[in-house]
Amino acid sequence: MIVFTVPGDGGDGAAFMQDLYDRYSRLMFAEALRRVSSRQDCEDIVQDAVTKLCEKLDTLRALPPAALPAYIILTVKHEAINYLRHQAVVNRHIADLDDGCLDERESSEPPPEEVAELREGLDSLSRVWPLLPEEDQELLYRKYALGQDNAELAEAFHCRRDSVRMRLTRARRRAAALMKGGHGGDKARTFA
Amino acid sequence: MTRQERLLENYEDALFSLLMESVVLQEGERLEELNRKLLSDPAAAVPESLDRRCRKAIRRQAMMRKRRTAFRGTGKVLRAAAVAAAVMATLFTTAFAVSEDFRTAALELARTVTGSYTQLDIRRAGESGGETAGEYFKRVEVGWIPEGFSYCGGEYDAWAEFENSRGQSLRVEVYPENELPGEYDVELQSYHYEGTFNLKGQMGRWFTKDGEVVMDVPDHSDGFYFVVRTSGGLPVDTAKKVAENLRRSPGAGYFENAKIGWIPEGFTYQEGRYDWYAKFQDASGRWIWIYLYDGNGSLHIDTEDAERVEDVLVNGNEGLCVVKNGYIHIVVTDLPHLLYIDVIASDQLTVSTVNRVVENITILP
Repeated sequence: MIVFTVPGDGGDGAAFMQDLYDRYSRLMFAEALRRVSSRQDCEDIVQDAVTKLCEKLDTLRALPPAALPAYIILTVKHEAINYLRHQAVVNRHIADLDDGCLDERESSEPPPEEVAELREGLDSLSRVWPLLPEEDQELLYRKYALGQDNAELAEAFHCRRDSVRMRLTRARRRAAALMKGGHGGDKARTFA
Repeated sequence: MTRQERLLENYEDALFSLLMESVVLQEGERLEELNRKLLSDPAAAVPESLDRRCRKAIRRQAMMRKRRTAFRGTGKVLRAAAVAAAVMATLFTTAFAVSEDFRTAALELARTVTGSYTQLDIRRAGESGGETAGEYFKRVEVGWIPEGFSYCGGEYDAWAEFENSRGQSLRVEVYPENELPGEYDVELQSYHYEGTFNLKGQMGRWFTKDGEVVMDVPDHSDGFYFVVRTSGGLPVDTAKKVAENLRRSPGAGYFENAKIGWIPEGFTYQEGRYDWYAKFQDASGRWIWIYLYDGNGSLHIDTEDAERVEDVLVNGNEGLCVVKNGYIHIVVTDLPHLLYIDVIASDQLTVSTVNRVVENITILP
Protein backbone atom coordinates (compact mmCIF):
# COMPACT_ATOMS: atom_id res chain seq x y z
CA MET A 1 0.00 0.00 0.00
CA ILE A 2 1.33 3.39 -0.93
CA VAL A 3 1.00 5.79 1.94
CA PHE A 4 0.74 9.48 1.27
CA THR A 5 0.21 12.51 3.39
CA VAL A 6 -2.05 15.22 2.03
CA PRO A 7 -0.10 18.45 1.92
CA GLY A 8 -1.24 21.32 4.09
CA ASP A 9 -1.68 21.83 7.82
CA GLY A 10 -4.35 19.15 8.15
CA GLY A 11 -4.85 20.03 11.78
CA ASP A 12 -1.46 18.71 12.88
CA GLY A 13 0.07 22.21 13.11
CA ALA A 14 2.96 21.41 10.78
CA ALA A 15 2.46 24.44 8.55
CA PHE A 16 1.97 26.75 11.53
CA MET A 17 5.13 25.53 13.22
CA GLN A 18 7.15 25.61 10.01
CA ASP A 19 6.09 29.20 9.48
CA LEU A 20 6.93 30.08 13.08
CA TYR A 21 10.31 28.43 12.75
CA ASP A 22 11.03 30.20 9.44
CA ARG A 23 10.25 33.55 11.05
CA TYR A 24 12.02 33.16 14.37
CA SER A 25 14.76 30.54 14.00
CA ARG A 26 17.50 33.18 13.92
CA LEU A 27 16.07 34.88 16.99
CA MET A 28 16.04 31.53 18.79
CA PHE A 29 19.61 30.74 17.81
CA ALA A 30 20.78 34.21 18.84
CA GLU A 31 19.11 33.80 22.23
CA ALA A 32 20.75 30.41 22.74
CA LEU A 33 24.13 31.94 21.84
CA ARG A 34 23.59 34.57 24.55
CA ARG A 35 23.22 31.81 27.11
CA VAL A 36 25.72 29.19 25.99
CA SER A 37 29.05 29.73 24.30
CA SER A 38 29.34 26.39 22.51
CA ARG A 39 27.58 26.37 19.14
CA GLN A 40 27.02 22.63 19.48
CA ASP A 41 25.22 23.21 22.76
CA CYS A 42 23.24 26.02 21.14
CA GLU A 43 22.04 23.72 18.41
CA ASP A 44 20.85 21.15 20.95
CA ILE A 45 19.08 23.83 22.96
CA VAL A 46 17.31 25.28 19.93
CA GLN A 47 16.22 21.85 18.74
CA ASP A 48 14.87 21.10 22.18
CA ALA A 49 13.07 24.43 22.26
CA VAL A 50 11.48 23.71 18.88
CA THR A 51 10.18 20.40 20.20
CA LYS A 52 8.81 22.11 23.29
CA LEU A 53 7.08 24.74 21.16
CA CYS A 54 5.51 22.02 19.02
CA GLU A 55 4.04 20.54 22.18
CA LYS A 56 2.57 23.94 23.02
CA LEU A 57 0.91 24.43 19.67
CA ASP A 58 -2.48 25.29 21.16
CA THR A 59 -0.92 27.85 23.49
CA LEU A 60 1.01 29.45 20.65
CA ARG A 61 -2.10 29.73 18.50
CA ALA A 62 -3.99 31.40 21.34
CA LEU A 63 -1.32 33.99 22.11
CA PRO A 64 -1.69 37.56 20.86
CA PRO A 65 0.82 38.09 18.03
CA ALA A 66 2.76 40.67 20.06
CA ALA A 67 3.47 38.05 22.77
CA LEU A 68 4.66 35.35 20.37
CA PRO A 69 8.36 36.30 20.06
CA ALA A 70 8.65 36.78 23.82
CA TYR A 71 7.13 33.35 24.46
CA ILE A 72 9.58 31.81 22.02
CA ILE A 73 12.52 33.60 23.64
CA LEU A 74 11.45 32.44 27.08
CA THR A 75 11.19 28.87 25.83
CA VAL A 76 14.75 28.99 24.50
CA LYS A 77 15.95 30.56 27.71
CA HIS A 78 14.23 27.88 29.77
CA GLU A 79 15.81 25.12 27.70
CA ALA A 80 19.22 26.74 27.97
CA ILE A 81 18.94 26.94 31.73
CA ASN A 82 17.83 23.30 31.92
CA TYR A 83 20.71 22.30 29.70
CA LEU A 84 23.22 24.15 31.86
CA ARG A 85 21.75 22.65 35.00
CA HIS A 86 21.99 19.23 33.45
CA GLN A 87 25.61 19.80 32.58
CA ALA A 88 26.20 21.09 36.09
CA VAL A 89 24.81 17.85 37.50
CA VAL A 90 27.20 15.82 35.43
CA ASN A 91 30.12 18.03 36.37
CA ARG A 92 29.06 18.07 40.01
CA HIS A 93 28.43 21.82 39.88
CA ILE A 94 24.84 22.09 40.85
CA ALA A 95 23.51 25.59 41.21
CA ASP A 96 20.53 25.28 43.51
CA LEU A 97 17.95 27.94 43.14
CA ASP A 98 16.57 28.63 46.56
CA ASP A 99 13.42 30.43 47.49
CA GLY A 100 15.12 33.65 48.30
CA CYS A 101 15.96 36.61 46.19
CA LEU A 102 17.96 35.79 43.06
CA ASP A 103 19.06 39.29 42.17
CA GLU A 104 21.99 40.20 44.36
CA ARG A 105 21.54 43.83 43.51
CA GLU A 106 18.00 43.97 44.85
CA SER A 107 17.33 46.80 47.23
CA SER A 108 15.20 46.47 50.34
CA GLU A 109 11.65 45.42 49.63
CA PRO A 110 9.36 48.39 49.15
CA PRO A 111 6.23 48.52 51.29
CA PRO A 112 2.84 47.43 49.96
CA GLU A 113 1.71 51.03 49.77
CA GLU A 114 4.01 51.52 46.75
CA VAL A 115 1.61 49.52 44.61
CA ALA A 116 -1.61 50.54 46.28
CA GLU A 117 -0.84 54.21 45.83
CA LEU A 118 0.04 53.86 42.16
CA ARG A 119 -1.93 56.31 40.06
CA GLU A 120 0.28 56.42 36.96
CA GLY A 121 -0.81 56.06 33.34
CA LEU A 122 -1.17 52.64 31.80
CA ASP A 123 2.20 52.93 30.06
CA SER A 124 4.13 53.54 33.29
CA LEU A 125 5.25 49.95 33.59
CA SER A 126 6.49 49.80 30.01
CA ARG A 127 8.63 52.91 30.65
CA VAL A 128 10.47 51.33 33.57
CA TRP A 129 10.41 47.79 32.18
CA PRO A 130 14.03 47.85 30.95
CA LEU A 131 15.15 48.83 34.45
CA LEU A 132 13.64 45.79 36.15
CA PRO A 133 15.88 42.85 37.02
CA GLU A 134 15.71 40.16 34.35
CA GLU A 135 14.16 37.69 36.76
CA ASP A 136 11.39 40.14 37.59
CA GLN A 137 10.74 40.83 33.93
CA GLU A 138 10.40 37.16 33.16
CA LEU A 139 8.25 36.46 36.21
CA LEU A 140 5.85 39.32 35.53
CA TYR A 141 5.72 38.55 31.82
CA ARG A 142 4.96 34.91 32.35
CA LYS A 143 2.33 35.69 34.99
CA TYR A 144 0.47 38.60 33.42
CA ALA A 145 1.21 38.45 29.71
CA LEU A 146 1.26 34.70 29.19
CA GLY A 147 -1.21 33.91 31.95
CA GLN A 148 0.85 31.10 33.44
CA ASP A 149 -0.34 29.75 36.76
CA ASN A 150 1.77 29.23 39.86
CA ALA A 151 2.51 25.62 38.97
CA GLU A 152 3.94 26.63 35.60
CA LEU A 153 5.87 29.49 37.18
CA ALA A 154 7.31 27.15 39.81
CA GLU A 155 8.53 24.85 37.06
CA ALA A 156 9.98 27.72 35.04
CA PHE A 157 11.87 29.12 38.02
CA HIS A 158 12.72 25.81 39.64
CA CYS A 159 11.18 26.74 42.94
CA ARG A 160 8.28 25.64 45.09
CA ARG A 161 4.79 26.89 44.36
CA ASP A 162 4.65 28.57 47.77
CA SER A 163 7.54 30.81 46.92
CA VAL A 164 6.04 31.92 43.61
CA ARG A 165 3.51 34.15 45.38
CA MET A 166 6.25 35.76 47.43
CA ARG A 167 8.42 36.35 44.39
CA LEU A 168 5.51 37.89 42.51
CA THR A 169 4.76 40.22 45.38
CA ARG A 170 8.36 41.35 45.52
CA ALA A 171 8.55 41.79 41.76
CA ARG A 172 5.37 43.88 41.69
CA ARG A 173 6.60 46.11 44.46
CA ARG A 174 10.00 46.61 42.88
CA ALA A 175 8.23 47.58 39.68
CA ALA A 176 5.97 49.93 41.58
CA ALA A 177 8.96 51.57 43.25
CA LEU A 178 10.53 52.17 39.84
CA MET A 179 7.30 53.60 38.51
CA LYS A 180 7.25 56.06 41.36
CA GLY A 181 10.76 57.10 40.40
CA GLY A 182 12.63 55.40 43.21
CA HIS A 183 15.39 53.76 41.10
CA GLY A 184 15.83 55.98 38.07
CA GLY A 185 19.54 55.45 37.51
CA ASP A 186 19.73 51.68 37.16
CA LYS A 187 21.19 50.08 34.02
CA ALA A 188 18.57 48.84 31.56
CA ARG A 189 18.14 45.09 31.27
CA THR A 190 15.83 42.85 29.30
CA PHE A 191 15.06 39.18 29.54
CA ALA A 192 15.70 38.91 25.83
CA MET B 1 -2.96 35.65 55.02
CA THR B 2 -5.37 38.25 56.34
CA ARG B 3 -8.37 39.36 54.37
CA GLN B 4 -6.77 42.73 53.73
CA GLU B 5 -3.60 41.09 52.43
CA ARG B 6 -5.66 38.91 50.13
CA LEU B 7 -7.62 41.90 48.83
CA LEU B 8 -4.40 43.80 48.28
CA GLU B 9 -2.93 40.89 46.35
CA ASN B 10 -6.02 40.66 44.17
CA TYR B 11 -5.80 44.38 43.51
CA GLU B 12 -2.12 44.17 42.58
CA ASP B 13 -2.83 41.21 40.29
CA ALA B 14 -5.56 43.09 38.46
CA LEU B 15 -3.50 46.26 38.22
CA PHE B 16 -0.46 44.51 36.80
CA SER B 17 -2.57 42.59 34.31
CA LEU B 18 -3.66 45.98 32.99
CA LEU B 19 -0.21 47.53 33.08
CA MET B 20 1.32 44.57 31.25
CA GLU B 21 -0.77 45.24 28.14
CA SER B 22 1.54 48.06 27.07
CA VAL B 23 4.60 46.02 28.03
CA VAL B 24 3.51 43.17 25.77
CA LEU B 25 3.18 45.56 22.82
CA GLN B 26 6.48 47.25 23.59
CA GLU B 27 8.41 44.02 24.00
CA GLY B 28 6.77 42.55 20.93
CA GLU B 29 7.89 45.49 18.80
CA ARG B 30 11.39 45.38 20.24
CA LEU B 31 11.78 41.66 19.53
CA GLU B 32 10.31 41.94 16.06
CA GLU B 33 12.80 44.74 15.29
CA LEU B 34 15.63 42.55 16.59
CA ASN B 35 14.32 39.68 14.50
CA ARG B 36 14.24 41.87 11.37
CA LYS B 37 17.89 42.77 11.90
CA LEU B 38 18.83 39.13 12.34
CA LEU B 39 16.93 38.10 9.22
CA SER B 40 18.91 40.61 7.17
CA ASP B 41 22.26 39.65 8.71
CA PRO B 42 24.00 36.79 6.86
CA ALA B 43 26.19 36.11 9.91
CA ALA B 44 23.10 35.35 11.97
CA ALA B 45 22.02 32.42 9.81
CA VAL B 46 21.11 29.20 11.59
CA PRO B 47 23.58 26.36 10.89
CA GLU B 48 22.33 24.01 8.21
CA SER B 49 22.62 20.95 10.45
CA LEU B 50 20.44 22.60 13.09
CA ASP B 51 17.95 23.68 10.45
CA ARG B 52 17.56 20.08 9.27
CA ARG B 53 17.14 18.79 12.81
CA CYS B 54 14.54 21.38 13.74
CA ARG B 55 12.46 20.82 10.61
CA LYS B 56 12.63 17.09 11.26
CA ALA B 57 11.49 17.65 14.85
CA ILE B 58 8.54 19.71 13.60
CA ARG B 59 7.55 16.98 11.15
CA ARG B 60 7.83 14.33 13.84
CA GLN B 61 5.66 16.27 16.27
CA ALA B 62 3.09 16.95 13.55
CA MET B 63 3.01 13.27 12.71
CA MET B 64 2.38 12.40 16.35
CA ARG B 65 -0.45 14.88 16.58
CA LYS B 66 -2.02 13.62 13.41
CA ARG B 67 -2.07 9.99 14.38
CA ARG B 68 -3.63 10.74 17.73
CA THR B 69 -6.59 12.42 16.09
CA ALA B 70 -6.91 10.10 13.10
CA PHE B 71 -8.00 6.95 14.90
CA ARG B 72 -11.51 5.92 14.06
CA GLY B 73 -12.99 2.60 15.10
CA THR B 74 -14.60 1.48 11.85
CA GLY B 75 -11.65 2.01 9.50
CA LYS B 76 -13.90 3.60 6.92
CA VAL B 77 -11.75 6.69 6.78
CA LEU B 78 -8.65 4.58 6.21
CA ARG B 79 -10.32 2.57 3.43
CA ALA B 80 -11.30 5.80 1.70
CA ALA B 81 -7.77 7.13 2.13
CA ALA B 82 -6.36 3.93 0.60
CA VAL B 83 -8.53 4.40 -2.50
CA ALA B 84 -7.54 8.05 -2.71
CA ALA B 85 -3.89 7.11 -2.35
CA ALA B 86 -4.15 4.60 -5.21
CA VAL B 87 -5.68 7.26 -7.46
CA MET B 88 -3.10 9.80 -6.37
CA ALA B 89 -0.33 7.36 -7.24
CA THR B 90 -0.93 8.04 -10.92
CA LEU B 91 -0.59 11.77 -10.30
CA PHE B 92 2.54 11.39 -8.17
CA THR B 93 5.09 12.14 -10.85
CA THR B 94 3.43 15.33 -12.03
CA ALA B 95 2.68 16.61 -8.56
CA PHE B 96 6.19 15.78 -7.41
CA ALA B 97 7.71 17.84 -10.19
CA VAL B 98 5.41 20.81 -9.81
CA SER B 99 4.88 21.39 -6.11
CA GLU B 100 7.63 21.81 -3.55
CA ASP B 101 5.14 21.36 -0.71
CA PHE B 102 3.89 18.10 -2.19
CA ARG B 103 7.42 16.94 -2.76
CA THR B 104 8.27 17.60 0.85
CA ALA B 105 5.17 15.84 2.10
CA ALA B 106 5.73 12.82 -0.12
CA LEU B 107 9.40 12.63 0.88
CA GLU B 108 8.45 12.73 4.50
CA LEU B 109 6.30 9.73 4.19
CA ALA B 110 8.41 7.54 1.95
CA ARG B 111 11.97 8.08 3.06
CA THR B 112 14.55 6.40 5.24
CA VAL B 113 16.82 8.87 6.93
CA THR B 114 20.27 7.77 7.96
CA GLY B 115 23.12 9.72 9.42
CA SER B 116 24.75 10.25 6.03
CA TYR B 117 22.01 10.01 3.42
CA THR B 118 18.29 10.00 2.82
CA GLN B 119 16.89 7.12 0.79
CA LEU B 120 13.66 7.68 -1.03
CA ASP B 121 11.35 4.69 -1.35
CA ILE B 122 7.78 4.20 -2.36
CA ARG B 123 7.09 1.78 0.39
CA ARG B 124 4.83 -1.14 -0.32
CA ALA B 125 3.22 -3.42 2.25
CA GLY B 126 5.64 -6.00 3.53
CA GLU B 127 8.75 -4.02 2.65
CA SER B 128 11.07 -2.57 5.17
CA GLY B 129 14.22 -0.51 4.79
CA GLY B 130 17.59 -0.47 6.46
CA GLU B 131 18.15 -2.41 9.59
CA THR B 132 14.58 -3.03 10.61
CA ALA B 133 12.97 -5.61 12.78
CA GLY B 134 9.45 -5.09 11.47
CA GLU B 135 7.20 -4.35 8.61
CA TYR B 136 5.46 -1.42 10.30
CA PHE B 137 8.10 0.00 12.62
CA LYS B 138 11.85 0.41 12.26
CA ARG B 139 12.82 -1.56 15.35
CA VAL B 140 9.60 -3.04 16.60
CA GLU B 141 7.84 -6.11 15.27
CA VAL B 142 4.13 -6.73 15.77
CA GLY B 143 4.41 -10.38 16.77
CA TRP B 144 0.73 -11.25 17.00
CA ILE B 145 -2.50 -10.04 15.43
CA PRO B 146 -5.88 -11.77 16.01
CA GLU B 147 -7.02 -14.09 13.29
CA GLY B 148 -9.02 -12.39 10.59
CA PHE B 149 -7.30 -9.02 10.99
CA SER B 150 -5.21 -7.47 8.23
CA TYR B 151 -3.21 -4.29 7.89
CA CYS B 152 -5.30 -1.41 6.58
CA GLY B 153 -3.11 1.65 7.01
CA GLY B 154 -0.69 3.64 9.09
CA GLU B 155 2.50 5.63 9.06
CA TYR B 156 5.74 3.75 8.97
CA ASP B 157 7.54 3.75 12.31
CA ALA B 158 4.67 5.64 13.98
CA TRP B 159 1.43 3.64 13.95
CA ALA B 160 -0.18 0.69 12.22
CA GLU B 161 -3.87 -0.20 12.08
CA PHE B 162 -5.49 -3.55 11.44
CA GLU B 163 -9.12 -4.48 10.93
CA ASN B 164 -11.36 -7.45 10.25
CA SER B 165 -14.43 -7.95 8.11
CA ARG B 166 -16.75 -7.12 11.01
CA GLY B 167 -15.43 -3.58 11.29
CA GLN B 168 -13.45 -4.23 14.45
CA SER B 169 -10.03 -2.64 14.47
CA LEU B 170 -6.88 -2.44 16.48
CA ARG B 171 -4.03 -0.02 16.27
CA VAL B 172 -0.47 -0.08 17.54
CA GLU B 173 1.41 3.16 18.21
CA VAL B 174 5.07 3.32 19.07
CA TYR B 175 6.64 6.33 20.76
CA PRO B 176 10.41 6.21 20.86
CA GLU B 177 10.70 9.31 23.01
CA ASN B 178 10.51 7.50 26.33
CA GLU B 179 7.33 9.29 27.30
CA LEU B 180 3.89 9.87 25.94
CA PRO B 181 3.02 13.28 24.55
CA GLY B 182 0.97 15.59 26.77
CA GLU B 183 -1.99 15.52 24.39
CA TYR B 184 -2.33 11.79 25.00
CA ASP B 185 -3.19 12.29 28.67
CA VAL B 186 -5.63 15.03 27.75
CA GLU B 187 -7.35 12.65 25.35
CA LEU B 188 -7.61 9.96 28.03
CA GLN B 189 -9.46 12.26 30.38
CA SER B 190 -12.66 11.32 28.57
CA TYR B 191 -11.96 7.61 29.01
CA HIS B 192 -12.74 5.43 32.00
CA TYR B 193 -9.60 4.37 33.81
CA GLU B 194 -9.80 0.63 34.45
CA GLY B 195 -6.53 -0.02 36.17
CA THR B 196 -2.98 -1.22 35.75
CA PHE B 197 -1.42 -4.47 34.71
CA ASN B 198 2.06 -5.93 34.69
CA LEU B 199 3.57 -6.67 31.32
CA LYS B 200 7.05 -8.21 31.41
CA GLY B 201 7.96 -6.21 34.48
CA GLN B 202 6.56 -2.92 33.24
CA MET B 203 3.40 -1.37 34.62
CA GLY B 204 0.83 -0.59 31.96
CA ARG B 205 -2.51 1.16 32.18
CA TRP B 206 -5.77 0.53 30.43
CA PHE B 207 -8.84 2.62 29.73
CA THR B 208 -12.21 2.04 28.09
CA LYS B 209 -14.83 4.13 26.35
CA ASP B 210 -17.77 3.12 24.18
CA GLY B 211 -16.38 -0.27 23.23
CA GLU B 212 -12.85 1.03 22.80
CA VAL B 213 -9.89 -0.15 24.83
CA VAL B 214 -6.72 1.91 25.11
CA MET B 215 -3.69 0.39 26.71
CA ASP B 216 -0.32 2.05 27.24
CA VAL B 217 2.81 0.28 28.30
CA PRO B 218 6.25 1.73 28.88
CA ASP B 219 9.26 -0.27 27.88
CA HIS B 220 11.90 1.61 29.79
CA SER B 221 14.51 -1.03 29.11
CA ASP B 222 14.45 0.03 25.50
CA GLY B 223 13.13 3.57 25.71
CA PHE B 224 9.82 2.96 24.01
CA TYR B 225 6.25 3.62 24.90
CA PHE B 226 3.57 1.49 23.26
CA VAL B 227 -0.10 2.25 22.89
CA VAL B 228 -2.54 -0.39 21.73
CA ARG B 229 -6.10 0.63 20.88
CA THR B 230 -8.96 -1.65 19.99
CA SER B 231 -12.51 -0.90 19.01
CA GLY B 232 -15.70 -2.64 18.11
CA GLY B 233 -16.00 -4.41 21.41
CA LEU B 234 -12.81 -6.44 21.22
CA PRO B 235 -11.98 -7.88 24.65
CA VAL B 236 -9.19 -6.30 26.65
CA ASP B 237 -7.25 -9.58 26.51
CA THR B 238 -6.84 -9.05 22.78
CA ALA B 239 -5.13 -5.71 23.34
CA LYS B 240 -2.98 -7.27 26.05
CA LYS B 241 -1.87 -10.10 23.83
CA VAL B 242 -0.94 -7.68 21.06
CA ALA B 243 1.07 -5.64 23.55
CA GLU B 244 2.77 -8.75 24.94
CA ASN B 245 3.91 -9.74 21.50
CA LEU B 246 5.47 -6.46 20.46
CA ARG B 247 9.10 -7.42 19.98
CA ARG B 248 11.91 -4.90 20.08
CA SER B 249 15.51 -4.95 18.94
CA PRO B 250 17.47 -4.65 22.16
CA GLY B 251 18.89 -1.22 22.80
CA ALA B 252 16.78 0.46 20.16
CA GLY B 253 14.64 3.41 21.02
CA TYR B 254 16.90 6.01 22.63
CA PHE B 255 18.63 7.29 19.53
CA GLU B 256 17.51 7.64 15.94
CA ASN B 257 20.52 5.89 14.44
CA ALA B 258 22.25 4.13 17.29
CA LYS B 259 21.70 1.05 19.39
CA ILE B 260 22.93 0.53 22.95
CA GLY B 261 24.04 -3.08 22.90
CA TRP B 262 25.08 -3.52 26.50
CA ILE B 263 24.42 -1.92 29.88
CA PRO B 264 25.71 -3.38 33.17
CA GLU B 265 23.31 -5.66 34.95
CA GLY B 266 20.97 -3.93 37.33
CA PHE B 267 20.95 -0.64 35.43
CA THR B 268 17.63 0.61 34.13
CA TYR B 269 16.66 3.57 32.04
CA GLN B 270 15.82 6.68 34.10
CA GLU B 271 15.41 9.62 31.78
CA GLY B 272 16.60 11.13 28.57
CA ARG B 273 15.82 13.09 25.44
CA TYR B 274 15.30 11.14 22.28
CA ASP B 275 18.29 11.19 19.97
CA TRP B 276 20.31 13.23 22.44
CA TYR B 277 20.99 11.42 25.71
CA ALA B 278 19.86 8.56 27.92
CA LYS B 279 20.53 8.06 31.61
CA PHE B 280 20.69 4.69 33.33
CA GLN B 281 20.95 3.99 37.03
CA ASP B 282 21.05 1.02 39.36
CA ALA B 283 19.53 0.47 42.76
CA SER B 284 22.63 1.69 44.60
CA GLY B 285 22.58 4.99 42.73
CA ARG B 286 25.42 4.38 40.29
CA TRP B 287 24.69 6.13 37.01
CA ILE B 288 25.63 6.13 33.36
CA TRP B 289 24.81 8.92 30.90
CA ILE B 290 25.10 8.23 27.19
CA TYR B 291 25.17 11.12 24.73
CA LEU B 292 25.42 11.29 20.98
CA TYR B 293 26.53 14.58 19.50
CA ASP B 294 26.63 15.72 15.91
CA GLY B 295 30.25 15.85 14.82
CA ASN B 296 29.84 19.24 13.16
CA GLY B 297 31.40 21.16 15.97
CA SER B 298 33.79 20.95 18.88
CA LEU B 299 33.21 18.93 22.02
CA HIS B 300 34.98 20.29 25.07
CA ILE B 301 36.05 17.70 27.62
CA ASP B 302 37.00 18.94 31.05
CA THR B 303 40.41 17.55 31.98
CA GLU B 304 41.49 20.13 34.55
CA ASP B 305 42.86 18.45 37.70
CA ALA B 306 41.85 15.06 36.37
CA GLU B 307 43.29 12.00 38.09
CA ARG B 308 43.74 10.28 34.78
CA VAL B 309 43.64 11.39 31.13
CA GLU B 310 44.53 8.95 28.40
CA ASP B 311 43.92 8.35 24.73
CA VAL B 312 41.67 5.43 23.91
CA LEU B 313 40.76 3.46 20.83
CA VAL B 314 37.31 1.84 20.87
CA ASN B 315 36.03 -0.06 17.84
CA GLY B 316 38.66 1.75 15.79
CA ASN B 317 37.42 5.14 17.01
CA GLU B 318 39.89 7.43 18.72
CA GLY B 319 38.96 9.25 21.86
CA LEU B 320 39.76 10.23 25.36
CA CYS B 321 39.23 8.73 28.79
CA VAL B 322 39.14 11.11 31.76
CA VAL B 323 38.77 10.15 35.40
CA LYS B 324 38.16 13.02 37.79
CA ASN B 325 35.95 14.27 40.55
CA GLY B 326 34.24 10.97 41.05
CA TYR B 327 33.29 10.17 37.47
CA ILE B 328 34.64 8.37 34.42
CA HIS B 329 34.25 10.08 31.09
CA ILE B 330 34.96 8.36 27.77
CA VAL B 331 34.44 10.19 24.49
CA VAL B 332 35.19 8.67 21.12
CA THR B 333 34.85 10.17 17.69
CA ASP B 334 33.01 8.11 15.11
CA LEU B 335 34.43 9.71 11.99
CA PRO B 336 32.52 7.71 9.37
CA HIS B 337 29.23 8.79 10.94
CA LEU B 338 30.42 12.23 12.04
CA LEU B 339 29.41 11.64 15.66
CA TYR B 340 30.79 12.02 19.14
CA ILE B 341 29.90 9.09 21.38
CA ASP B 342 30.06 10.41 24.93
CA VAL B 343 29.60 8.23 28.01
CA ILE B 344 29.91 9.51 31.58
CA ALA B 345 29.57 7.21 34.55
CA SER B 346 29.94 7.44 38.29
CA ASP B 347 33.34 6.28 39.51
CA GLN B 348 31.90 3.34 41.45
CA LEU B 349 32.02 1.65 38.08
CA THR B 350 35.33 0.68 36.53
CA VAL B 351 36.93 2.16 33.45
CA SER B 352 36.71 -1.20 31.73
CA THR B 353 32.95 -1.36 32.40
CA VAL B 354 32.41 2.09 30.92
CA ASN B 355 34.66 1.12 28.03
CA ARG B 356 32.47 -1.91 27.42
CA VAL B 357 29.36 0.29 27.25
CA VAL B 358 31.08 2.44 24.62
CA GLU B 359 32.25 -0.64 22.70
CA ASN B 360 28.68 -1.87 22.46
CA ILE B 361 27.14 1.30 21.09
CA THR B 362 26.42 0.56 17.45
CA ILE B 363 25.81 3.33 14.98
CA LEU B 364 23.22 2.15 12.48
CA PRO B 365 23.53 2.82 8.75
